Amino acid sequence: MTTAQTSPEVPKLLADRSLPKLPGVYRQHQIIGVAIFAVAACLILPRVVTSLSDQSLMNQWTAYSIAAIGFYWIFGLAGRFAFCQTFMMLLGGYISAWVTRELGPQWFLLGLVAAIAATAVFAALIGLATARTGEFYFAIATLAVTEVGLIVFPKLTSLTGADGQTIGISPPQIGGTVLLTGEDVFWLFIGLLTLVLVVAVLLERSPLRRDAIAARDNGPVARTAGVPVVKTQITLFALGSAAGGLSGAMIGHLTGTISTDSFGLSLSIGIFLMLLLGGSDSYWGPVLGAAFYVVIPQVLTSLQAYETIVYGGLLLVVVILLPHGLIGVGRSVMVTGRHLWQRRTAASS
Amino acid sequence: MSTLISLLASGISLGGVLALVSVGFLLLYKATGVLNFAHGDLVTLGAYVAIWVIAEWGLPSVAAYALALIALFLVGVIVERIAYAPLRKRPPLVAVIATLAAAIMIEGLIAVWQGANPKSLASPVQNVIFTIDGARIPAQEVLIVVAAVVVLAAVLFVFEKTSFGRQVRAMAADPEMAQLNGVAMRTLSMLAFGLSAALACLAGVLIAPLNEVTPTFGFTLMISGFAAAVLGGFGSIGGVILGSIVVGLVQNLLGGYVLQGYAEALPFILMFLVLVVRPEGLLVLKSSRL
Amino acid sequence: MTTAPVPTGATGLDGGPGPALLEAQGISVSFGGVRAVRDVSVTLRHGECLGVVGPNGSGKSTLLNAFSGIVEASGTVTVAGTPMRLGRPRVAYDQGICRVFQAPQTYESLSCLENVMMSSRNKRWSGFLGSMLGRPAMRNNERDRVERARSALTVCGIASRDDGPSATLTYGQRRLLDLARAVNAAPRILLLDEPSAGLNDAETRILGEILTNLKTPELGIVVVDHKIDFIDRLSSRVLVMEQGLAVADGPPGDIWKDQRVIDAYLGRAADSAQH
Repeated sequence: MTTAQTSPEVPKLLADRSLPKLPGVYRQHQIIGVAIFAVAACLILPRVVTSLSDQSLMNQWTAYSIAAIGFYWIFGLAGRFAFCQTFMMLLGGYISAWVTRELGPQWFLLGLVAAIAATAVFAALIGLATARTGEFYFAIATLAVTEVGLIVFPKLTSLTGADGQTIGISPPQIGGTVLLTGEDVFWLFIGLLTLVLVVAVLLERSPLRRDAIAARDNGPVARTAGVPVVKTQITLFALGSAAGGLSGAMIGHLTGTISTDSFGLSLSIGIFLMLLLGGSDSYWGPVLGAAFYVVIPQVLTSLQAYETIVYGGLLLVVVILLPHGLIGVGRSVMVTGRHLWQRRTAASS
Repeated sequence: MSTLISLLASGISLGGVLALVSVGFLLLYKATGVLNFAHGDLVTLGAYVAIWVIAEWGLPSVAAYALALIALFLVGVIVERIAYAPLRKRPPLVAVIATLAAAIMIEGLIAVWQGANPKSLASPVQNVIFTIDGARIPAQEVLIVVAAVVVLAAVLFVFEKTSFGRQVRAMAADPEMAQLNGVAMRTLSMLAFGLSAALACLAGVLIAPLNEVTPTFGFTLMISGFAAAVLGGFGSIGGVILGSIVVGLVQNLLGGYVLQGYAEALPFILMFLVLVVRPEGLLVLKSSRL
Repeated sequence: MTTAPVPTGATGLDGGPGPALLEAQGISVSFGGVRAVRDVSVTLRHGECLGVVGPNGSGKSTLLNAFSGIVEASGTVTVAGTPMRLGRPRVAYDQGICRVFQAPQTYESLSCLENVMMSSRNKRWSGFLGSMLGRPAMRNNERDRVERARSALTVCGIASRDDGPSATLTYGQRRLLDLARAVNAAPRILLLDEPSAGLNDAETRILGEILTNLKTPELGIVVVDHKIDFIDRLSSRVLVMEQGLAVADGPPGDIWKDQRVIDAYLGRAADSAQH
């Protein structure tokens, strides 16, 4: 048996296993990357972000990142475009709000769990129903689900409040502590984002990633090779939707309201934009993209009216010029830099 | 009885409009393989251009419609140049995303240009109302059906029987072969986008006088058009027309009689159920674009 | 390479092929009015290599598609005595049917090793639970999957590529990667669709050696190809197809002398000689 040829730039920090070496993906120490991110965020952000409105933006960014990571699982990894992420956010938001309204604000965490569970189950059902549909029809089916949701939610006034507007949602509360300030909420939200990132890492370091990519890049051939295409796609769809549900619940408790006005189809497109802009090749792309999505309207306040035009233009530019998003640009820069450096050192020697 | 008749009439006229919208969408897909998500916003744009022409130059409504048709034809060509031609070599998903981007931009442009407040479009028959058996049927609805029938028949004729239609079908079936056989791909695809946009415009100016005009009404119509296309079978023009009528009737009849308030959701629920039962859609999408 | 248990009565290559492994009766496939395969019946035995030849458009690949469950087909297929449902790729896989397609199917986002690992029969702890909660068990099974994939790569002569990127493989290496993916799944029946297409003489020879080394008394192989001597060297039996019909079926020596075959096939010799 030949020894494995590893990619040269992966350092082996941990003890070398003498057993068969797993594929490179298992050795990339992605957890360290997440840890660095979490620590850096906790150290830097609370100092830099001080005003109330900025804090609110920062917390929105974490919530949107989670939804966008979910969308990455559904579309970036499993390859099925779904319009319904905003629907899942709505559903999660309503359910979490309902739990804290009926049982009391101290049950906030239970509300989150309920939101995640409900959206996961709902998505699994939709996934099962649409198991055999092709990509395009699946997208249309999720569009249908979203549209139906946007029409039906406002009618379920006991769950969703008058006209689909749930207001007066209690702030997050863990045990006895009520998280009222932006900074308090930040700790919780960054913790949740870190948790989701850990889940993302665990996914990448598992056969599920391989199966998802196989299903995405060539489903029919993957089927003949025994890859469980349908099961993989439903799993990732449910997981991604659950992330959407968590995100919606977070936003609900952050802003105090959930309404169908703020979670329309344009948000689904916005999440798509986050993924595309940041880079659809990894789970860091959505985090970066979400940051841009949240920050850009602030930068362009004078162009408030032109907001949608700018988004559309941005999407167009990104899709034409940056197929791998900003992270792809970063990677190209690094690769070019490395080549230039190598040439320079070779020339000088 | 009079309710039934007026619901039937509005259902069929809605079906006519949806048929125009979805046939325009389908034709473009057949000719170029592109799913043009900006199609709905072209419907909206058509109505708004007509409104603007009437407001700015005081022209009669029919003249405004004609100008709008020409304008939208040009817009279609522009969309082809920006969002399709540069992306021909890339995977088809990229072109679809580009049309989505174009859709967002067009919708934004309309909102900036005309504001988000609802407007109304004048029509040559706007004050004419027929009365059948006690039911009041706006002449506009009749106009829609007549126009739809005429235009769709013309489209079918062109597509099946003329050399232009033949070339489009050749391009759809095998783009490389068509190119080798001298089919002028660039001109054809610009024409296809332009004509598709003109059809969208026609749908817009036909239905706009019946309701208020907002920057999103065309998008909503397009989505209902998707439902129609799925129900009737995305492969054939005839199927799409049939599906449109079904959607229009379901929305108005069921919505009117039974589940009031849920009317708009019904086509989607129906479409979802169809997709569950027949996952390939009612006709296979990929086996041939025809 | 692990394979299915040896059925009693199977004889090795020296004693001639064993009992029937795959029996196909009356297979017909049509799309949109075109009847690509018409009422074809063929039997594949344990330890046998069946070559399938015929002009372009004769339905050879479609026949393989029918066996792989990729297209809807009518007729019956029995694998080792058990009837098999047609039109379901997963069912075919579960029956031990592994397919190599005409064009290389490389998943460029995955490494070579991962390309092969996906076909593994060992699916324990490879789903959601395995990735989240049962990680030690998942990793153990991954090591097992890696081992099997590595030996498949070795058998197919591309062990050196291992966990490297698959996007930089040459055309010939991609074909071998596809073969490794099929071999990794411990097939009972190996379906190869024009494996030598696009390969030069040296590569074709190497491929022939690899395939010969793969042969065991239990494994059944179906090879569709245009290169006559390649088929001759590999196969103990040849099926000739034309326009969806099975024209002749027998040992290579008899086949090439059969007048029907000469008429049907050699008339298009110019066609096949170009491959």
